[in-house]
Amino acid sequence: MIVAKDVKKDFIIGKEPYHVLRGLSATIYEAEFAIIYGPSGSGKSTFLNTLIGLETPSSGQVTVDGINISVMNEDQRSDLRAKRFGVVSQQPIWVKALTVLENVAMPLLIANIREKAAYEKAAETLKTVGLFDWAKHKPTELSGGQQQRVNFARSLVNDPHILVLDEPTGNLDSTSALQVLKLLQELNRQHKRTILMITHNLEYLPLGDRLIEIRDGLIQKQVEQKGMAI
Amino acid sequence: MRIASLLRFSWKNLWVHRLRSLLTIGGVVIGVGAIVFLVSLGFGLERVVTSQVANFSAFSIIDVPAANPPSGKIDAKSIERARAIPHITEVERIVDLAGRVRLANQNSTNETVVVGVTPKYFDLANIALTGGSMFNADSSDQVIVNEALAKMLGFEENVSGMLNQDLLVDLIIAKSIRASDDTEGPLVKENIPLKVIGIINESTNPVMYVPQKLSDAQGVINSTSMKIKIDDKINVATVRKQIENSGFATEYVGDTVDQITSVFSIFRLILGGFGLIALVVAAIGTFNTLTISLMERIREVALLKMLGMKRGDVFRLFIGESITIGILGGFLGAGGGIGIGAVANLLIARMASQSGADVVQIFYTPTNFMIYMVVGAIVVGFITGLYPSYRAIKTNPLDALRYE
Repeated sequence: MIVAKDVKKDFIIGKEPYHVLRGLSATIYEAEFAIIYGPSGSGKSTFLNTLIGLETPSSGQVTVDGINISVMNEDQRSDLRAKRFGVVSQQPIWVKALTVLENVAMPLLIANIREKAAYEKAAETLKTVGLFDWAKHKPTELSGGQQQRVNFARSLVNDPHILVLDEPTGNLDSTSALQVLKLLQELNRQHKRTILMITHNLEYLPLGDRLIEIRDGLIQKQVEQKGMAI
Repeated sequence: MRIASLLRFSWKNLWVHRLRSLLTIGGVVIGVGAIVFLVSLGFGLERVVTSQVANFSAFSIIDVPAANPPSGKIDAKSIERARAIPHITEVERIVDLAGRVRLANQNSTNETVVVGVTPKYFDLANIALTGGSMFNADSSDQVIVNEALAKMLGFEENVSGMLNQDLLVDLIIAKSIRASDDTEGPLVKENIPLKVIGIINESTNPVMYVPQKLSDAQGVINSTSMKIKIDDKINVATVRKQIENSGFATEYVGDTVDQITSVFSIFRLILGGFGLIALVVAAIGTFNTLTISLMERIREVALLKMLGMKRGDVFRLFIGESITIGILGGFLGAGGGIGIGAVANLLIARMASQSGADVVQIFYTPTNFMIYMVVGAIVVGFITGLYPSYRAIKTNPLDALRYE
């Protein structure tokens, strides 16, 4: 469970303070499919980054499974991300020197898992997204859709409780986007993973159990519903 | 992250940019190789010069010349006192005399130095016979001459022809070394018959060595110097101090070698300085490569941090690359420098043997120096990697993810 209490975040641009988050409070429960949406520049990504400890709030508090991450140092927050979160960015980023298999295994290696076990688990995860045949290739040799699936495999390899996604379908065609959403729903409903997704696409809103609309750094609307099955 | 994984990761990052990595490592190899090669030349030359001055056993020998009488006189009592000093294992007295020599069947005489010694002296002074045999300590008519004297007496082309020649020698004995008598000034003992039984190749000045029994029989009771052997060279300083406290000066080959060493230390520093320029250039190159590598991989660093990599692991990842460059550069550079020196030694040896000269090795790399150079290269790698690694730690993943 992630709880944000009156989270504020200010940036100094030039000499002027810029209030990106102006007191956001929200709770994302275990095994929920939460969708954050809103216009560009509203503070969605900053809020998401604050929830996973990549950003520290200027004030307010964020707790993850009861742990206050706002008071943690950078290494402690890194450790928390390695153990509890799977993160999928809008554009996949790769360690270019490594193969698909090694990239997928990276979260496990970071978590101090032995290489043999990490690569076995990575291979297994690649099979679940149907890309094991590409394991020895470099990620940049794959198509955009394939890369995003490998990106998913990497976010899932450490069995995270919470999957965080920033516009995961932003660069995908409609077919690939649908596959991704199906996979997310399967992870949420069958494997009871908490999903926290940012999207611009309002068509996806029926899928979420919790909808959080952010505008001008404030939560404009928060809705709880029964997410629709794809 | 486990160290093995980090090292493999670092290596793959270097390997993916093979050409750039090889050029960077090549720079370190050239820098380290240049230092090893040039400083080995300094060490080699020092060794050649030092070996000309003294062999290993000479470092446990002290020479004590007679000083002003009465305290500086070397007589039977002073020799006994010397023998009683701890750590002294042998005391050999030496009698240096002026002399005139001629072949028994000729009239023209030549001046020479006549040294009265026992056969043991030749061991202590590390003088080997080049022909004939050692004289008998009890004899009083045998003599060993050096090649310079043989040549002076007409045996330029065939030095060994000097063997078995009969000589007539005049000994000039200073008052300070003979038993008291009424004669003022030096005493000359003329036409002493001697037979040449050995030849040595020592000194460029004419010298002949006679049994001490002969010089003593001419009234010599004091010595002009002592050659003292010490049990171990680490005790030399202590023994010298004791001897010098009793009024004598001491001469030690180590003093000369120390002077040579200090001269060559400066020489090595100058040579090493030239090599160091190459290493500094290589270090700047390494720094540049690592910094560029970081800039290119800034999004990777952001990704790794986003995935939960801790700052220490990020640091180790980058420093691992710079240390790998240092390790490879250090070993290959040291190996290369030694290898080129060895090839040069071979070529010089071949040229020397073709021209009939002595074979010398002018490149010599002490093991310690080689280890220092490899460790030094690793330290240079570490230092050059510090700044890029520190920058990698300080990278804000969110800034980096926005970075294009």
